[in-house]
Amino acid sequence: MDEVVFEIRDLCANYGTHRVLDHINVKIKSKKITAIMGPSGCGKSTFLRILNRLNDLIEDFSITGQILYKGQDIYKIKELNLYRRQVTMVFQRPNPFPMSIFDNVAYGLKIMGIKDKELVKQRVQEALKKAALWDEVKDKLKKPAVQLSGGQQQRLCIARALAIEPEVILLDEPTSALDPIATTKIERLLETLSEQYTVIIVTHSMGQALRISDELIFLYQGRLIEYGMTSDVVKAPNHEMTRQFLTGKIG
Amino acid sequence: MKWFFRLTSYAVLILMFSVIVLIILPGVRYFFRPGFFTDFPRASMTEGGVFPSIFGSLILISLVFVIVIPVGLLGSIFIAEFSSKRLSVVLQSLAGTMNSIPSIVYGLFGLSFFCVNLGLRTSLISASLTLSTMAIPFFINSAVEFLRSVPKELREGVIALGANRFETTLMVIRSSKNGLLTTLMLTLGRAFSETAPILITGAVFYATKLPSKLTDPIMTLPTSIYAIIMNLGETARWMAQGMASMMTLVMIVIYSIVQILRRRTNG
Amino acid sequence: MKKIGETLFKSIVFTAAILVAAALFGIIFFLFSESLRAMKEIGWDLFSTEWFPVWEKPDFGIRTMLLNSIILTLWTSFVVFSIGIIVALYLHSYANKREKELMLRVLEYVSGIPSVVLGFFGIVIVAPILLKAGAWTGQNFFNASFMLSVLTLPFMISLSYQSLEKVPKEISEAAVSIGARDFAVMIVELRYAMPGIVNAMMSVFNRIFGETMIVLMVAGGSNLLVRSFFDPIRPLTATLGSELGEVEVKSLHYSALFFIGFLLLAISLAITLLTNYIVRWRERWIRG
Repeated sequence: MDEVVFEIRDLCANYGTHRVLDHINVKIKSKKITAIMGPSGCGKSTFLRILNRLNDLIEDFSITGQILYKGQDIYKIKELNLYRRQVTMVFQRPNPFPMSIFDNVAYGLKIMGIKDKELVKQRVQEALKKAALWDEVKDKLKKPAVQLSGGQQQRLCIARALAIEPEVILLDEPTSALDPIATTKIERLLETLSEQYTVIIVTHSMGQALRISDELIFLYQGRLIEYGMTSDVVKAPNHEMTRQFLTGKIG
Repeated sequence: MKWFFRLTSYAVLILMFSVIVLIILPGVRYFFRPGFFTDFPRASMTEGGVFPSIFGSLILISLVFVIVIPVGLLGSIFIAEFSSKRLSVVLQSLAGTMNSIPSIVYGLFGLSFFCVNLGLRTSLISASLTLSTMAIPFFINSAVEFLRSVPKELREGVIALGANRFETTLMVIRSSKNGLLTTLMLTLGRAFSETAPILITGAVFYATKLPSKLTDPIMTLPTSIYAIIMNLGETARWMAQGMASMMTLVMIVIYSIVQILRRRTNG
Repeated sequence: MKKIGETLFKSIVFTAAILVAAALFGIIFFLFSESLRAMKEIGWDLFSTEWFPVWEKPDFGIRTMLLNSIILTLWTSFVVFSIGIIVALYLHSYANKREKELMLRVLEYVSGIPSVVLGFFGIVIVAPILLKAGAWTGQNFFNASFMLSVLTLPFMISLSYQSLEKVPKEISEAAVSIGARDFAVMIVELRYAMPGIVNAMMSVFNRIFGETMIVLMVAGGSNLLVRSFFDPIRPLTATLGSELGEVEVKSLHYSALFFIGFLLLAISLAITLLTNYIVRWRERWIRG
């Protein structure tokens, strides 16, 4: 049996009176790549942002239902920053901080209060290696991060997330702003990462979901249409809508 | 059509350019008179230098900065980062409204509140408080725009790493650094060139000593230009001319820095 | 511990923001309360024509000054608006990159010149020219209006230019594609840029009306209603600038001066509110 990381019970989400997620029930397994897909506007990004509790910042946003992270209701967590260090997020557009490459990766460690310089150095190096970026940047760690290419910036953002040693990495369409070569690199990277981390990725690209994911969640207009092992879903979708999406009739 | 537009534009350009030149050039030669920057004026401001006015302007601006930077920065952080949407709209339009109030009105407020009611009289401290009251909304108006223009992704990126609000705010400030510096330079320019409020709340036309405490009145560059031109004859005019070119040159330096910062912000 | 720090930080920034709001109400309160005495003791005579504050039987009538202020502001605004929009249109529609850069840079430098220095310029350079041209005094309506134009034209041009540049390309191209000529395209663009331009106009108007140093130095100082371009005049702000320095605190004269200030404040607030209203109303026309 695989270990369950997230258990989502009856989750509904609203912006004002507009409902974006409607009674979602789903379990997400540990150390797997779970892809959330669906046409734009189906609520997939909102779903991911809720897992990081990022939508707390939006004024008229509200949810009902329960999200259990390892059995604990995440909306009852007080020390949110500790939680976000376990379940961290990488965004659609690369967002390097206005500092050097090294400082970018070290930032998470600094705000965790790690002062030991050697330890920071070591963790930064590890993270950059895991993100397959080390060889490209090892000679220019002191250079501003914004000088990297788009694909490198996105891997830097992944490295920044890895440095704080999270358990779950949420990725919101991480390759949609990148070219095909950079995309391939990141997909490879995610596959290796899933040996150590739980990866949840939102994507609008069906090809990407099929290439890399172990588990598939298909959302349509805020409803959960299909969910299961990717191979099963592809072979025998339970729902007509999924079949249409897989064959490109909708989406 | 086109030639008429072009003619008007070139006429404006030539006019503006000659204003700058005619202000700066005639005064520059007085910079080389011995003691222009370092001496007290003598003989009814017909001889000597403008040291006390420079000193007064410098000390006044330093005081204004000591007040405006913390209050303005914290205020704009509140509006951009912490307040609810509705409150931020209210506060921002308050700041915008205050920005359009004529400076002489601030002078009257300063005279009534700081000089008379608080009993600070015509003094350095009254003038700097009055100027600060004016400069804070100006600062906030511009700073809020720059803080807001920080991309959402960056802010969320910091939060997703587990940063608290204080750390997030620091990152926002850090990434709008150039914008905040621009704001600071523009505030500096405004405080430096403002005349009427100081005239009412803190200026003295002629002093033989530098101010030694906060409650002493001061001489400043703009008020001295005014005093000389309105109260003294032709023989003192050269001193006003020198100060006018000096002030204009300083402002050009300030605006050049602003232009450099702006180019850097736009990448 | 961290929690306390965050709450403290939050309350400090909150206080800073509230201070700003308090200042506005402080300004209104102090100007109003200081002018109460004049309103009570002089009443509607405040709007009579004669202003002789230090005579044995003083007169505190602001009508002439008020009218002169309004006439000066309206005329100068008219000049600045027309020239400003023409230059902004030129920069937007015809100018090449070098012209734009040069113009905007020169304008930015001019906008940095302190108003007291412009007043100085008016006295030292413009006044002698006017005298030579036959005016009986160099410090007059024309001189003040001219220097006020130099002060505000840079704002008018760069703000209008910015709003024109913000007009989406599709709008202008749509106009061109249905066969509009230069002039017609400009009209479409102007309509679209109107909220920004109205905003610019109102702040220019406000600035001219409230400007003190220039009119104090070059308007001439005579309290007679203006009849020709070369008459010396004394707008409201000039009176404040020249008399506040030596007035006896809390006297009737002092209170009457505050009444002038209160009037300036009220007018500037009214203009700001009106601008916000117009801009919002116009924006509804454009952005639906």
